[in-house]
Amino acid sequence: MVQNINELNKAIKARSDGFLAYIAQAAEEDMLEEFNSWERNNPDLKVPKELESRILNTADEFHKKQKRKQLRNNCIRFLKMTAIIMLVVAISFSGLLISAEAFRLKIFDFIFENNKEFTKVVPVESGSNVLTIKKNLPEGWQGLFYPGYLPEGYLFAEAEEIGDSKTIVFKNKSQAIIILTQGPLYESEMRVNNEGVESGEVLVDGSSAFWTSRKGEVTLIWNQNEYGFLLYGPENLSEMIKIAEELLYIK
Amino acid sequence: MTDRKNSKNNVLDKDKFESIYSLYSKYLYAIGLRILKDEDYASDALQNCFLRIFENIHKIKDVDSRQTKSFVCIIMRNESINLYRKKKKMEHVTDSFDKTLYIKDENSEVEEIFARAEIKKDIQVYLKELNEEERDLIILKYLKEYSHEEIADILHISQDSVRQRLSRIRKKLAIVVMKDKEKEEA
Repeated sequence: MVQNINELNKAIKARSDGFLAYIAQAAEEDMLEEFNSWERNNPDLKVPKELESRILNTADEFHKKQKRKQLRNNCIRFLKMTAIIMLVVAISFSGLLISAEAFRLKIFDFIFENNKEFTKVVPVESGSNVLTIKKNLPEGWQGLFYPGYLPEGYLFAEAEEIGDSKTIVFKNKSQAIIILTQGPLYESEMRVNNEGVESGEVLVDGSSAFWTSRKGEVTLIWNQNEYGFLLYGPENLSEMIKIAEELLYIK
Repeated sequence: MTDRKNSKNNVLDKDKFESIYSLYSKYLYAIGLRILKDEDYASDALQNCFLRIFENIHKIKDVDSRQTKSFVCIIMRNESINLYRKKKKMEHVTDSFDKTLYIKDENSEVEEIFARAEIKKDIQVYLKELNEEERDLIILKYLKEYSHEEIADILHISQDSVRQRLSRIRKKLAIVVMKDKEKEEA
């Protein structure tokens, strides 16, 4: 009985919506015809040039603002998703409960222990490449690492500073992104949520690095000269290691 | 993956926006002039309209289509009317159709009236009961099938306002249908 009433109500609603859609369609036809005829009758009408450039500029600014906002959100979400506490935040986690340890992997130890075995740093000061790199980066950015190698097709897209950390984003034509985040390493303990991801340790230029992989997207974390690094991208692990091993130091 | 999609959309959005601009700016400017009868006001309305289009650009699938044309037209008409009111400091006279008070504000009752209604050959009988804004609302709701939230977003009004206005429109049209039926029965 109740089901019949529901069916009936549904039928009434469908018919009612159909009736209103019919009126709406007529209203739309009326509207378009009215404005079409108005446009036809004013063939010389033009949008003023000054207004045109104002609109396009406003749209451009709006677009840039959206992109900046999106990049910031991407970075924040990305960091949250991988549940990696940023290398740059000087908070001690020593008091964290041990109870969740079964699901978490403590990674600070190996990073810290290997701290003395500094990985190779290639300082770069001149050359056309460096000029292009510096041109891309925001003003005032110096003393940072930049990929000397990127998989084919990736180009610089964005650079963003959050706190003490610097993030550089590279994109290819299909809009896949590689993100490199770097910041000073504090003696804080980091924990990585290890659930639902493959993970392990690899060597980056002879130093231990921690990697996670989830749905084909790899994250690599390591340290280099008291800097912490996080590299993220949809490339395979060996390709990501290659990027990590060929970082250039930009003075 | 979503991030990558978003990034891709960003690029596409800009291209899409430029296509929309080149295809419809003149047309939309004409709408502004028709409503506002002033070039400066029409320019302001056009600028606001394109900002609103940018905000809602994800709703536009095919730039060169009737669907998009009516969508941008509704936005421009809405912006022009809003600006007209603002500039002239005119208060919107909502409606003087007092008979709507006699119909219960319950969708089910109105729906039953529409469900029983016969589609008239002369659709103008219904259309003449609706002002331009009301026509825009039923186009967005019943033709484009946007949610109240989306309509509120497009027209820059609250969701409550969308609900109230749609309810008023339905009641208005229900009265036309009822009158028509009474005539037939008489």
